[in-house]
Amino acid sequence: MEQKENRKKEIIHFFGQLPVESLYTAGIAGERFLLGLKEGKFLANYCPDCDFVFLPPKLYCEFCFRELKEEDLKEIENKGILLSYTFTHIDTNGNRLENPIIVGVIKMNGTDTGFVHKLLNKIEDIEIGMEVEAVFAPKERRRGSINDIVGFQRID
Amino acid sequence: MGRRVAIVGAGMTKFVRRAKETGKELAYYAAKAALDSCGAKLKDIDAVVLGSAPDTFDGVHMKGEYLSCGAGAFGKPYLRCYVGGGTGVFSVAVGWYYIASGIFDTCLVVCEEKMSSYQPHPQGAFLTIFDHTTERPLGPNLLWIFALEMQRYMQTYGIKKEEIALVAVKNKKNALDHPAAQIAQEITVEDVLKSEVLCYPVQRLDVSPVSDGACAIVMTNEYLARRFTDKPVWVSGVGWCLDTAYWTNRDLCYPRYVEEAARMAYKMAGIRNPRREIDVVEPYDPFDYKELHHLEGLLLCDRGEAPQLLVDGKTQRDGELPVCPSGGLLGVGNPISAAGLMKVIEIFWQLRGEAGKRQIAKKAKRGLAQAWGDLMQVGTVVILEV
Amino acid sequence: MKNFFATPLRDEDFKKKNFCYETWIGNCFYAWDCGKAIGRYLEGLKEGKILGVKCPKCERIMVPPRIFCEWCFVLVEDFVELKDTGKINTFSISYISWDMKRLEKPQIPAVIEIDGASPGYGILHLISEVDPKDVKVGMRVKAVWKEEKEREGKITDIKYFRPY
Repeated sequence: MEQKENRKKEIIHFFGQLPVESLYTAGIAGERFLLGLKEGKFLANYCPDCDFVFLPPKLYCEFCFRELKEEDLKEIENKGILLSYTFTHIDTNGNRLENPIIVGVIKMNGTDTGFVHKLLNKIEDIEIGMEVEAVFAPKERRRGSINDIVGFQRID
Repeated sequence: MGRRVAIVGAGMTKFVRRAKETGKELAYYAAKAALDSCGAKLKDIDAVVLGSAPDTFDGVHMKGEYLSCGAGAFGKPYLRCYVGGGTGVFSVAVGWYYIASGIFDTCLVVCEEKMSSYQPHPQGAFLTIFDHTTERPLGPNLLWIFALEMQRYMQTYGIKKEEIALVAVKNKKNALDHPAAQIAQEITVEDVLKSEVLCYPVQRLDVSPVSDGACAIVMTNEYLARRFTDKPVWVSGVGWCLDTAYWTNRDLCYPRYVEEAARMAYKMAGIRNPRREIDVVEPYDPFDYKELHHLEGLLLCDRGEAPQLLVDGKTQRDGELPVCPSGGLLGVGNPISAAGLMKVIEIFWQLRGEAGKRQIAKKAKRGLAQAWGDLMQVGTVVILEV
Repeated sequence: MKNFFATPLRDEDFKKKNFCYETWIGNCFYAWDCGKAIGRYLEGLKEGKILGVKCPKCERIMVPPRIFCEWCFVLVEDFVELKDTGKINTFSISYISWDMKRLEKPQIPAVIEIDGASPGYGILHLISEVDPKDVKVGMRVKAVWKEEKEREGKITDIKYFRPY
């Protein structure tokens, strides 16, 4: 066995990379929702068995497993209540952001679920319980994505 | 040995190259079909087991949690299990011990895979199975391990490519009768031998495709089984075993871990002579040679003798020992974990006489499904009987 | 009695992206710890040596090295210098890359049983300086090393193995 002192330079790490690139389909229910956003509409769906409204809509009710079909979709108004919010001053790599990103959980009127998106107001103007509405991107820039909504802003 | 465990219902999605559905939606279709097949409601289910391969495919970390609601696990005890390609059959073993132990009376087992999310090709997700320091710098691809194993198997027993190609011919043809199949087709040995050489001796038609899909079964204890169906299928044996990850240190010509798993399952099922007592078998066939390799590991023939069974036509649906009557992964498709569960479901349907055009000629009382995975390392076995 | 759902996206739909989707590129850089045994193995490679370990109980000589014997489950600390020759246990001729692109020049990966290790103990490496048609199981091969100053403690310090 060789002695430890003979060891010249210890090799500790091996550096490498994992190539990860994903393409996520929105799915059957997801596509119904996103195509709604593209039209500037909020589409939710309702499970009559559980009396529950999902936003974003789902293919199935997760409580009773009923399939929710296209005809179960209903348009809801662009208005909701801010349930909670946070703001972040750093990005995912830990770098300081010049302008903080504000993220809120919004309960849209007529739905039973929270909806996460950005808030566009200044921090000092934001309070839990305030009424908010979605601001849509200009129609030509919408592509059927959650970012077809720019963010939510306070309604005064 | 605890309570007797039955499979009472089964369902699956179509297997496709790229599904528009999300993973959750695929899981839902399969789970709902399984429940519907035996008149069960979600509230009848005590616990849910999910089987799914690496998170990297779907591109979702905590994939188990992500898929939970689509698998019907809302508000229920839930566990994701994973042993590489062996997962689909292993998940049935997990469902078995949930119920055999008496903890739960009913259990839904769901397996889902959405490989198409991984870009540019799902093969990349397999790169990290190679050791990051001693193997990955050599620039491997997944096919290497199969090609190296196939070569060793062929060399050790003097098996010809023509014989192995018969597996692809048989399975792709069997799949023509499977309504969920992705790449069923009628081909010849010559087609296989002329197909593009990917990684010698592996050619294009030796390989199963990448797929999206999901499968599910409903399991219950012996007391409840007949509440859901007149024809319960009993799980009489389960087995699993893992070999060392130092795969370059063992002889790849024989899957001894499959033998260990099979012995565990045979013992549990009271099977002394599997060659006489097993009527139909679904060994794991991601590559054509693997079907033969696994028949040997399952002790259903002597080492190196599996090709002869095939050449003699004994493994056709009307033969003495029908092998992969479903069409297997080579024909139906290979959404990793879902493919393993598809095999268990095929045995379930065969034993109930519900396999339609795929129904084997002989009357089957006992069947076996087996899966395999990780770094040529894991064997998982389930034995079903009526 | 049976329904089989799932909506296949046809190739042309996929190419034209006729569906709603999002993409994401992961930024996955790692510094994997080599650990004791592989760290020592890499140091050996840098010195132009292939090291194995010997189990104090069953006395088998293993490569790549590990700090435990998975059979006896005892600590293994005894490093042994092996030869840089061996024989091909199995091989393949690979015409494709990891993302299924066609390679111009095929690679020949092989499991090589290293001389000095217990029988059957091999490592994964590449074969070169030979016509792919002539590679055989059982063929004797020898490591071709990088120049000493170019070696950096990686498995690629051995460029490949060649018949000898």
